[in-house]
Amino acid sequence: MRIVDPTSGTAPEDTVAVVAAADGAAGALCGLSNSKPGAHDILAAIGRRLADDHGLGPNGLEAKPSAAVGADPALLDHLAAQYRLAVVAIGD
Amino acid sequence: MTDVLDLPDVDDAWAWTAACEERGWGDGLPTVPPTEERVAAMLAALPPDLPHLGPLPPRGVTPTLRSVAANAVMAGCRPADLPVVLAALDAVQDEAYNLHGTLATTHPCAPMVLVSGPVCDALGINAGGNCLGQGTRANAVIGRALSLVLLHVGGARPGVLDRSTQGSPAKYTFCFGESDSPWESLAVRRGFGADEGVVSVMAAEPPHNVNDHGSTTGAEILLTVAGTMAQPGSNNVYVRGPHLLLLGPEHAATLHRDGWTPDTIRAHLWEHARIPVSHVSAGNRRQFVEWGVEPDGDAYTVSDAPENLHLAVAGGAGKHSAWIPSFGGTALVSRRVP
Repeated sequence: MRIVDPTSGTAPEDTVAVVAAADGAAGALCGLSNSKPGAHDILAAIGRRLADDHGLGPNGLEAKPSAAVGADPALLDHLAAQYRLAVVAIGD
Repeated sequence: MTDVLDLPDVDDAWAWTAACEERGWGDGLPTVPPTEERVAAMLAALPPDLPHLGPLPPRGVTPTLRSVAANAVMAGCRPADLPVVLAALDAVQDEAYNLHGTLATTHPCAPMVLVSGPVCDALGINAGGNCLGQGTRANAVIGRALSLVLLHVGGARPGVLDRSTQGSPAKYTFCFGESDSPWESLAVRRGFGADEGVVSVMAAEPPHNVNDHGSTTGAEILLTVAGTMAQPGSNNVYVRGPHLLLLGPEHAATLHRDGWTPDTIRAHLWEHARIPVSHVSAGNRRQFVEWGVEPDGDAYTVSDAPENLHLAVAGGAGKHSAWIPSFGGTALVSRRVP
């Protein structure tokens, strides 16, 4: 049976790679909070454990301006330029 | 790049359902295979002046008319239903609707589709008894088609990019008609003509019933409505945003008889639907402050302005109405059906 793919459409433009800054916090880990009450705490704890147990750091902590909207592309570009890895809190 | 897939050995309904499951397609209920012929029949019936479709979050893929039609076929739509689906899809893409946030949230909101105007009779969209329930094809398939587009093209897959904690039955389908009203219809009050077909969408919770068999005046009915709306677990309390009062026709008739209008009803409920501070936990009060929400005296308002309460009439005989809160970070968006 020949069907029309219900998932089909025009794919978004390829993601543009952003070069991490050569100084400042570049090379570090970032926690990105969805700005809900529990997310900040758990990300801060994860950052401390990664630093203490694995020597990863310095670690940053950033947040979306509102839990009700997606992260703005400008925020993601900023994170990409400042950090090499981001941990996103998906719990509340 | 072709959008046609050749799936051998799925001519049987059971095999088709299994094939959908393997691919992660569908909402759990059986679907109609979107064959090229069925999709072509859908597209052949489309009128001119169709809305422009943009990329759908969270995946960012832009649907084609063919992929929307394929999802409409899967949902069980008839060709005549597709323009309503397209109008609803256009409406949820309005920036104010906040499609990304409403699809990815832990909140159980679903895309509510309220249809107004002659298109309801033309398509058999139920605005009467059990209009929010099962039993009417148009209601079932139009809302379902929109949800399937957002699932398949947008990628809002439960447990993956749809992070809803519990979800809700409304996520299967949430479409109903606006019935004759003692006042101007919601669509007319929003600037459309009475002869136009209009869809109004909002990222909404399922309806909260308002049972009032005892009241005999409009003021008494509004006391019950205000009490139903004044609950501290709603997103509207601190995210604010729109909510909808869907009056059953008997409650609406009593209110109209007593001289109430949509504007006076909204103003009255704004003043009287209040949540006592004592009903809100200390931790929640702190969170509300972070959202910029403080109590007005010894109570919280249910949203940020009377204008955010929308009002429509639907349903059959009986003394029931419904309050439909929203995700909060959304808007009621209306579009003309092409």
